[in-house]
This record gives sequence, structure tokens and C-alpha cells, in this order.
Amino acid sequence: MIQAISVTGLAVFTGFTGLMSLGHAAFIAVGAYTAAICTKTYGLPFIAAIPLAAIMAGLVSLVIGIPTLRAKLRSDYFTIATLGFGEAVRVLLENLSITNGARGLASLTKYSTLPRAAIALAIVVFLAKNFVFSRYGRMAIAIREDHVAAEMAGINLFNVRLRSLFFSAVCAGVGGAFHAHYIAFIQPNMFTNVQSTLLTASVVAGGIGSLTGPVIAALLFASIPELLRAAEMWRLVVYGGVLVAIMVLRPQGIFGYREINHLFRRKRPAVVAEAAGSSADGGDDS
Amino acid sequence: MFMQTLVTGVAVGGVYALMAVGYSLIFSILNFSNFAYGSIIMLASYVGYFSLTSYGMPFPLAVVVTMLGAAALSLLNERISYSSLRKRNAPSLYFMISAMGTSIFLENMVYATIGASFKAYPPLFTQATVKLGSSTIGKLDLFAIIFSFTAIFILNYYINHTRTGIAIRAASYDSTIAQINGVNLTYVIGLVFILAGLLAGLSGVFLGLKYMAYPTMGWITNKAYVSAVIGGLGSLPGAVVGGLILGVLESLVSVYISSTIRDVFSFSFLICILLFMPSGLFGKYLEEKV
Amino acid sequence: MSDYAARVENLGKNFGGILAAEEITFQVREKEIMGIIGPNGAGKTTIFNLMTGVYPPTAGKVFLGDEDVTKLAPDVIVKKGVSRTFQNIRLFKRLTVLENVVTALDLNYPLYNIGEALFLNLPFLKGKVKRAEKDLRDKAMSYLDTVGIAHLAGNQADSLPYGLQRKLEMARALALEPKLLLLDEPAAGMNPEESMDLARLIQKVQKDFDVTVLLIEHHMDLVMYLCHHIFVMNFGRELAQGSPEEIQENPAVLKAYLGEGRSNG
Repeated sequence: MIQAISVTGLAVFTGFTGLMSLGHAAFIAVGAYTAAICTKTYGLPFIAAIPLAAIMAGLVSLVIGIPTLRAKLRSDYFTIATLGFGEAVRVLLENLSITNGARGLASLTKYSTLPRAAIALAIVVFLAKNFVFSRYGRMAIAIREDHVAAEMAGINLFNVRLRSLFFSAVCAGVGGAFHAHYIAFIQPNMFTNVQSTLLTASVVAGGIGSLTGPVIAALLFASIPELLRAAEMWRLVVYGGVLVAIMVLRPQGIFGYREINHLFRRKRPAVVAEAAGSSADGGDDS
Repeated sequence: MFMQTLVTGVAVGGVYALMAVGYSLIFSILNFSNFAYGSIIMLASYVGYFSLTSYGMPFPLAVVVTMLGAAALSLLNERISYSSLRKRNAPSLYFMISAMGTSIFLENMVYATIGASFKAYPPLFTQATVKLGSSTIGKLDLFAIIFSFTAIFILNYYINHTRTGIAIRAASYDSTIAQINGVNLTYVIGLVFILAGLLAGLSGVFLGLKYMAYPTMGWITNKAYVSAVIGGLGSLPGAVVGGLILGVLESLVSVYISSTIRDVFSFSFLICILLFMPSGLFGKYLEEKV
Repeated sequence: MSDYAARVENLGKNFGGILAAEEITFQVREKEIMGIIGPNGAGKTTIFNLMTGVYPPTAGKVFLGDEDVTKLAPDVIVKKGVSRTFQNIRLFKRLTVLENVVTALDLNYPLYNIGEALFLNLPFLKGKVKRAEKDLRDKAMSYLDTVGIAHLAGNQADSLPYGLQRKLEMARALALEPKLLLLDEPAAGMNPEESMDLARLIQKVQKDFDVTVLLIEHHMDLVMYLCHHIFVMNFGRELAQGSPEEIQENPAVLKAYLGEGRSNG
């Protein structure tokens, strides 16, 4: 449930803006630490800590986003930059005194109850939905589809990408706040790039360009290993395999480029649905 | 002291360069960054380890076996993870995800089967040093430098002076046109992955000798990727220069500032370079055809 | 106010040693239709890319009216009133035909801000955002109607046949409400009859939307029929410019075309 909050953010960024981030664990970490410090050190109520965590994660995203997105880096260079950034944040957390270094912050109050997490998830998904289906989301999708054409439609790549990144980091920050108050202690080494990778796995499995798909995938991913704790090692092996298999066999994921309600609500003509499938398969007909 | 740091830097840089060349080679032909390459190197390191210990092979044979093994892995990597994407002309995001999936798969496969413990290679050169002017250099490092540069030199010759090498270069400029001119793309791409795999094998053994073999050693290879980007992906001389620059700078930073910020420094350096030279120092022309 | 919608002066582009364009100078008069012709690889599309800021020129300047736009970013140039289509069709493939045009409308019709988009779009509140989106869709439909593909509005963009994809690109370019419209091979792949239909469409668009048109085309009959003024390129350089009649009689042009065995005329 908590994971799904962060996944929603990444779904907006990767699925709708077409950039891949391996540094989202850093935003979760920033959210987690901000919230933990708020509640533990300053004794703020949890409800006040969440927005602060969100804002802090958002601000941190600007630190990496402004230089890299302004330079319009190739997408794979951007990805490696986020990887390095994630590492930098972790090293920083290990060396600051306010975060208590590598030992982390312990004995936090368990504020993250299931209903609270569910409410937060619902709000985040609602906002993400509004974002994606507004003109802001449309601009992001246009960039994902063809950034040259998007620019020639007057879209400022930097603004739109940065906005998506910010939004996505804010979601991750909220996710982090809940995470910290769920397991009650946090350490820098909980937020490695493995964590970022798992988020990406959920987005990809759920379907690039879909919101509900990734959320469902995140819920599934989170619940399966809870049942099979013993298979911890193999879980990641399976995730890796699943990622490759999805890309090779069904790149649109479970609900690629569609939302779950579309499957029921809008009956598209068969021809269109067919075209949707084949283009998501690659679009080599161009 | 300064000279000593420089020498260490060059030694590290030599191995970075070797791996960076592998990244660059694959990039030049598929135009995407194969993040799975690091895991191939990691596996190669294990292959080297087991060849030397469990099978008691002599060192040269172990190197050859490792190189061949890595080449096979690399080819498999392409055939399984990328070839169908390539045929569908899928967006580069898909390639990256597939590469990442492959690397997670391999890395955790090692965790699950071999375990997280560090595997130390039998001591071959570790202690011995050679005097070089006022500074000393580990025999291993010297060996690594010589081998790395010989391998890169041979590769460079191969690519520039043989028929298949020319086909590879043609395909890296424009795969469609190369195909029209009779280059068998599947064959050439396979070949590139094999070449990159051979380099991965060699670097895997050196890394194993120097740092031991362990599942997350892909992190070192990430920095090789950083060197490739600094030098300009797709450019072989760029990869070498990038590797050396990064190796030397990292040694200097570790010695004169702090080793904890070394990795952070590498990535910040990367971002700075990219801000001013988006295609790296020797990058092949990256402006997009519109 | 200058009489020219756009001018380029001594424009040059060097791609890592290869001169794609060199010393290109021409003017596009207000409200006229001008054509750029020349063999494949002559550097025509490069001129469009330089004019729209896709990449910076290595020499020379680009003016819109009296304003120097040489170093501006593409999205800024678009805001100054230039829009274009692409030789190798660049649609937002997985969006619908309608959404492609709506995306372009967003530029001039930012009908709501991000706060409204995020927080006021409640399902039970038929608010500003919903109304704005409906207005945009209606407006987009009118552009689709202009180019004659309104009946395909709900289809996914890349499911359209090529000819219609080109028309959709044109609708999208028009939706940006340009003063100067750049069309890169709008009739590519069309038979003579279709291309003449397209010529009439371009004429109608020019009048109805009161735009200046600059187009690249290989179909000579279309170019000769439509254009008031023609610029001929070969090997990245100017070969000739003038009225259609002058161009048809220009010996250098004839030599370049016949010499290359081209017979599109």
C-alpha cells in the first residue's frame, strides 16, 4: 500500500513522461527522514509531517532535475545521473548528524495504519489522475511520444519534465513518510538503488502509460513476498526476469497505455483497440 | 606522493577504460546504454574465480575460459533481452528497462545461488610491487594496465583494419544503410556483443584479482560507464581517455579529500561534463535527425 | 513592419565537417506561398530545422518579421508564430487524432492552471477544467474538419494511412495559430490527383487562416501550381530563385534536375 504511493509518482514520471529514474529511492529517503525528524525531534503531528516530507522531497528533486533536465540530456544519461544522485543522497544521509548517520533513526511511532495509508494512496492517485488527464499530462505524453514534435507544438521540454519530476518526487516523499512510520526505524542503506529498481519494476509490470496498472502491480508485488518471506533472494531474481519478459513479450504491461476502468467503461471499436496493441508493440510501421 | 597517486589512478583508469570500451562498443551499434554489461563483468569475475579455484586451472587458461564465458553470456544477453526489441524498433526506454531487468536478474541469481560473500582470488601478484622511478606499482596493476591497453589496441586495429571491423563501423553510423549495403545486422550486432563480452571477461578477472568477486561489484562497472560517457559514448579513444581521467581524478580525490565522497564526486563530475559537452569529450555526433 | 514574414541571411550549417547548408539567403513575403525545391539531400529540411530552432546554425541569421530569432529555442519560436510539419511524420502516435490537435491548442489556450487541474477536478463537480477540456475538443474538431479528417477524431493517430497522417500534422500545425506555416513534403507518397487536392487544400488554408506558407516539395506540378516564389537548392547551396516561370526556364535548374535523371515534373 505504501509502496504504491511512491509507485504512483514514478508511474507519472516514467509512464507518462518517458524518462527512467534510478534515483527515486532518494526521494523516498528524503521524505522518510523529513517526516521522521518532524515527528521524533520536533514532535510535530504525523499529519503535519506528511506535507513537509512531500515538499522536501519535491525540493530535492529540483536539485537534480534543474541541471540535468535543462541540459536536455539523452534519456540514458539522465538515468545514470539519477543513479549517481541516489547514491549521493545516501552518502549524505550517512554523514549528517541530524539523520544520525549510518545508524539511522529508530523507535519512531507507528502512525502508518492501513486506513491512513489507503486514504493517502487514494488522494495521491486522485491527484495523479487529474495531473495526467489535464493539459499538463497531455504535454508530458506528447514529449514521451515525440519530443521534437512536442517542442514544435510549443511545449517547453524542461518545464514539463521538471514538473513531472517534482510531482513524482512529492508522491515519493509521501510514500517515504508513511514508510518511516510503518517500520518505525530508518537507515540510509534501506534506500539503495535496489529500492528504485523495485519501483520501476512495478511501473513496468503494471504498464507504462497507465496509473491504475502500476498501483495494482505494486499492491501485488508487495503482498506476494509477504507470504513468501523465505524466498527473499529469489524474489529479486524473479523481478528481473519479469522485467525482461515483459519488455520482450508484452511491453505494454498489464494495462499499458490504458486504465483499468477503460476496460469496462469505454468500449472501443475493435479496430482501434487492435491498433493500440500493435503500436504499443513497437510501432515499426513508421 | 602525488606521483604515486597518479600511478594508482592510471592503474584504476586502465581497467575502467577496458570496461568503458565495452560499453561504448555496444552503445555505438545499438545506440543505447547496456546497463546489464556490469553484471556480465561481475559474472565473468566469478567464472574466473571458479576456474582458478574449483577447477585449478593455470592462470592464462582461466583468463581464456573467462573471456569465452563472458562472450557467451554477452551474446545471450543480446539475443534474449534485446533482439526482439530491436526487431520491433522499440523505444530506448524499453531497452533500458530490459537491460536493468537483466542486471537485477543476474545479480540476484548470484546472491541466491553463490551467496553474498566475497570470493578472494588465489594470491597471484597481489603482494609483489615494481619500482617505477620514485613510486611503486603493484605487479597486478602493471599487468592490468599492459593487458588492458593491449586488448584495446588489438580491438582498435580489428575495427579499423579488417573487413568485419569495417562492417561494424558502417553499422554503427547508420544501421539501415549498412544493411542495404549487405551488412548482416544480426551477425554484426552479435559480433559486437561477443567482443564486448571478451573485454568483460578480461576486466572481470582483473577486478576479481584486485577487489575480489562479489555480487554488487556492478557498482564499480557503473563508474566504467561513467568514464565511457565522459569520453563520449560510441568513441573508443574517448572511452580510454575517459577511463584514465576518471581513474586519476578519483585517486586524487580519495587521497587529498576523502574516499567517502569519491563516488559522489565521479557522478557530479559526470553531470558537469555533460552540462558543457552533452556528447562527452569525443562523442560521436548526437544531434538528432529530424 | 517588414514586408517579409521571414528572412534568412547567409544561413549555414556544418555537421561535423559536412556542409549541409551554406550561404542561404531568401525572403518569404507576407501571405505568399513559397516553395523550396531541390534533389534529395540538398539541405532543404536542414533549412526548416534551422528556421525552427531544432538546431543552431553555424553561420547566418533567421528573422521573423524584423525580429532576429536565430538563437531561440524551438518552443519559443513556435510562440512567435511559426509552426511546421515533418518530412518523416512525427505525430504523438499513441494519442488519438483529436488529442494530437488538442495538445497543440494548449499553447494558445491555457484555460486553467495547475492548481485547478489538480484540486478542482472532482468527479461530482462539473467545473472549469471539464468545461475547458470540452471547449478545446470542440475547437480541435474544427481544425480536423478543415483538413477533412474529423470523422477519424477518435482513432489512434498512427492507425491512419500516411496521407491522412500528413493532414493531421497539418491540422496540428494550424492549431498553433501560426503566422508562418512550414510544410515539409506535404504531398510525399501521393499520386498526382491526390497531390492536386492537397494543393487546393493548402490554398484554402492559406486564405482562411491568413498565413504565409513555406513548403518543401518534390511534386513539381504542385509546386508550380501553388507557389508564387521558388527557391532551388543543390548540394546545400542556392541554385536559383524566382517565379515558377523563371525557374522552369533556368538552365542551371534544368541541368541539375535532368542531369540527375529526376523526372518528377
